[in-house]
Amino acid sequence: MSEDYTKRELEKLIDGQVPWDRCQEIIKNPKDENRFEKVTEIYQSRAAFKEQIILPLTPYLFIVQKGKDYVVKCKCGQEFGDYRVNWKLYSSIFVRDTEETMEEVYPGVQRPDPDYCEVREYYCPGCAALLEVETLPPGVPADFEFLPDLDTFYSEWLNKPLKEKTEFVDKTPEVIAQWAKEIG
Amino acid sequence: MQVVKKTLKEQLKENEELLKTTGYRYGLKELKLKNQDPTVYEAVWGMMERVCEDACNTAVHVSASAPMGEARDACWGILSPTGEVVCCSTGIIGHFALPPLFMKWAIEQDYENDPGINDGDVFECNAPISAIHANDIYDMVPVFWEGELIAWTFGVGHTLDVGGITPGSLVMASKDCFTDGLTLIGEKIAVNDKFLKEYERRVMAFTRMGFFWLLDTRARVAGAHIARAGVLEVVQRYGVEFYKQIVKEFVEDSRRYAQARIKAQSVPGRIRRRSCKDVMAEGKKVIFTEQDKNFIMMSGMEMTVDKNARVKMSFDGTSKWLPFGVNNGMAGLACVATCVYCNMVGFEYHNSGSYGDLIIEPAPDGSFANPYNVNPFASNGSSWAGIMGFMSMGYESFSRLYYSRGFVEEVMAGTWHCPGIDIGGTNLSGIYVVLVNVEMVPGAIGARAIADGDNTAWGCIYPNADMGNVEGLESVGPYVWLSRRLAVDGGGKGKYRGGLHLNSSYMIWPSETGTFTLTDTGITNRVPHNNSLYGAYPPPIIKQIIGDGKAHKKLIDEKKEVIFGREDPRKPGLSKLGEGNYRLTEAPILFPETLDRYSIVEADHGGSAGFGDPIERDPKLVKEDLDMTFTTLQTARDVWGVEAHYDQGLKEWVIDEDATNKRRKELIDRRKKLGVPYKEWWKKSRARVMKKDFIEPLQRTLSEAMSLSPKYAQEFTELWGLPADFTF
Repeated sequence: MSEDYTKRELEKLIDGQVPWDRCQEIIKNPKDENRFEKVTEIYQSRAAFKEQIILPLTPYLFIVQKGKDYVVKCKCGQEFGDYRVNWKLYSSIFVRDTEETMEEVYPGVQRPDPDYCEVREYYCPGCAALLEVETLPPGVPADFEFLPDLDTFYSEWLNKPLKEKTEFVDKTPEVIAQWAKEIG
Repeated sequence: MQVVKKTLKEQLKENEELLKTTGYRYGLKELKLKNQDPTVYEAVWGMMERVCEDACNTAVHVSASAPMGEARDACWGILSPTGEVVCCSTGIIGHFALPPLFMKWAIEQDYENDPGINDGDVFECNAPISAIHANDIYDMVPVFWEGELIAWTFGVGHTLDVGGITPGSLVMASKDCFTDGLTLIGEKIAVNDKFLKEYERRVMAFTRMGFFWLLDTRARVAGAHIARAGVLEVVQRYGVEFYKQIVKEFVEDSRRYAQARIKAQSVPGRIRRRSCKDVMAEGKKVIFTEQDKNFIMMSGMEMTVDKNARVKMSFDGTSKWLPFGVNNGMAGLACVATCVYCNMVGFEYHNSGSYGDLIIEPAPDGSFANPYNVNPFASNGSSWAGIMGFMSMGYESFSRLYYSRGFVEEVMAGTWHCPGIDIGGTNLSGIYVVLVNVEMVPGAIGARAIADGDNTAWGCIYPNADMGNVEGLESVGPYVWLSRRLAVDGGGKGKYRGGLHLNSSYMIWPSETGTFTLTDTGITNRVPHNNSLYGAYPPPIIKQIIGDGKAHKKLIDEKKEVIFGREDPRKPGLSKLGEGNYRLTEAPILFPETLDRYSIVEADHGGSAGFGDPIERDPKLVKEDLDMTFTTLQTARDVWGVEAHYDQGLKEWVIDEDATNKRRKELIDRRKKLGVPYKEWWKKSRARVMKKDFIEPLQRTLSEAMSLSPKYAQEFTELWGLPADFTF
């Protein structure tokens, strides 16, 4: 049987405050069926926005319901648009592409070569939280790390269909196509 | 009535059909024996697990070879007649997906008729059909009961040398398989439990340390025979029909467990990752002109979880095969899947069933992860180089799914990438030996969502990792250890940092000279693996340094300090030898460099991936790292935004809270100032892509990856808003 953890204990778990012995018990125990709901409640209480959290994406980013749409929002309230478009398109980015800027985070013998690597830092334009870092060669497109199948998750896994159906499709290329059109 | 027994080929076909049509392994909708008597079911599982563990614990001591004896780079298990793993020992779990590949191949090759499968036979294989690289050798032993083949047992272990073009464990200099070393493709090496003389003669004649190979064979086969006896014990006690049924149930049961677990703790959807590794070969000693250039290996991985919690892995974006031993085929991808499942999904019964629902799509034809249809002779001597990249992405992928579902305790950001260092020479017994750095095995754990990753505690291919006793290794090898220390700032820097691996110092001694090669997964010189979670920096590149033997000997004679750890990545330990007496290397070093006695290799083993925004790191954790000399004050300031001073009286670091708050605010302000809208950066980068303004190795990699996979070409052009026919 799975254990029914208190909200307080889950908060401590999320914050890295549960002693390691207890963490190991939690890891070994059968998974609690209502974890998703409880954890979402905790994140909701900590967020600066009012919209309902549909899915946590990262410690800062959440898919929320906004009217009939599902959009990505940062904990601070900054909006990143349709969750099916890579949220990075609406982030602010700083690229370490010189030895000098790389040296700050990869000092001395750890420093990459700017011909082979860019260190891409994606920030929230609202609170400047560092949301993701990529180390990829220049020219390699940004990763769209996680595109959830929200409809299936809610209707078939949680048995709580979403109010608004949503198609599982990557819409990033559509936005990019529009940008390319603007440039001409 | 005469019962006509099905051939293995027929059984295999039937198993595949039943899985396809019913969705259950062997069509087992009901677990009859489990339901009838769960206690006996568990007891029999316990017996089989004990059998495999006994095989492992006993057999590693049969061999004198360091990887097996000291680091347990080995594994034993029990298979069904058609090759599904039923039960497996601890050890290198990455290998247990591979005997099934061999069995499938052997069945397709009609081994039943030629060469025949008989009681007392041993079949050996280290060919790409089922081996990661030639140094990982598999022995398969058939188990008969009253004339019927009812099981196979296997043993696999890493052997120190297989006679490749360069000495050692991780031959990378080969352009093709012809110089990968002595390769056996499922050969019968024993009859009636006796090794064939021609096999032993061949191994002794064509490898540098045949005695180790043959000792390892004895260890592998001894373990397989222990497991064979164990299987027969179960059959004697419970009957053969019971045995045949229960092993099927163990496999199907595991499939259900993995599927249920994925459904319980993840979210359906798509995860996509790319990561690169550079192979700096230009101007180095090579054999063929096509090897004389630099390469970028790009690994692409997409993982989808469908509504039935079935996982599919595909590898579009993976770049072309290389004229070096870094390629791998389905064996490599199966190894990736097994490790990812064992570590991230878990198992009730450790067997093939765990990943029974997983679909592994072959990587693009002609890529380094599927070269053989295009280049049947691709070399794989050091194929872990590519495999680890995929593995790390797999850990990261499941972690993202678990995080979204709320199971933060299951998150683990990724794995380590470790260099292969082979040093050859004469050991204390006067015997020529090439010894690989087996301490690469116990790597650093990726950060969790709730804590730092553990240091040197885990191997992604080997959960219960052991770096081996230095004394044991020194008694075999041609070099000695001057020091092992945790690598300062070696992990991915984040709110929780990746675990730290080791910086070790090896001194060439007692050997007069040491031959040194540098290969394998740790070849990251110029681009760190793109692997981290949620704002942490991926772990740094890895840098090996060589210290001059004469300068070192002088210090020894003068009785000065001779042990130099890397206390700061800005100032390598060997810089204390003085200018001109040390040099930084770039991987790979394909052909052995000869180092004099007393030369030092400062071996950097790389760290693991981090989690979260670094300036959210609890300053107390930074203080602990400063106290333990795991980080430096400069890094604390630059990355974690923590100000501290060393209290000479207390002899510990003290955090300056006000200054820390101020520093963190400065870093936030700096981000606001430096960050530009993505669209702006995209326009600039797009223009650069259109101008093809990249170094030649990068252009070549992108061009080849696009031509190998139309899907990746489409993704690439779409994401830069380029015409569909754009090429490099």
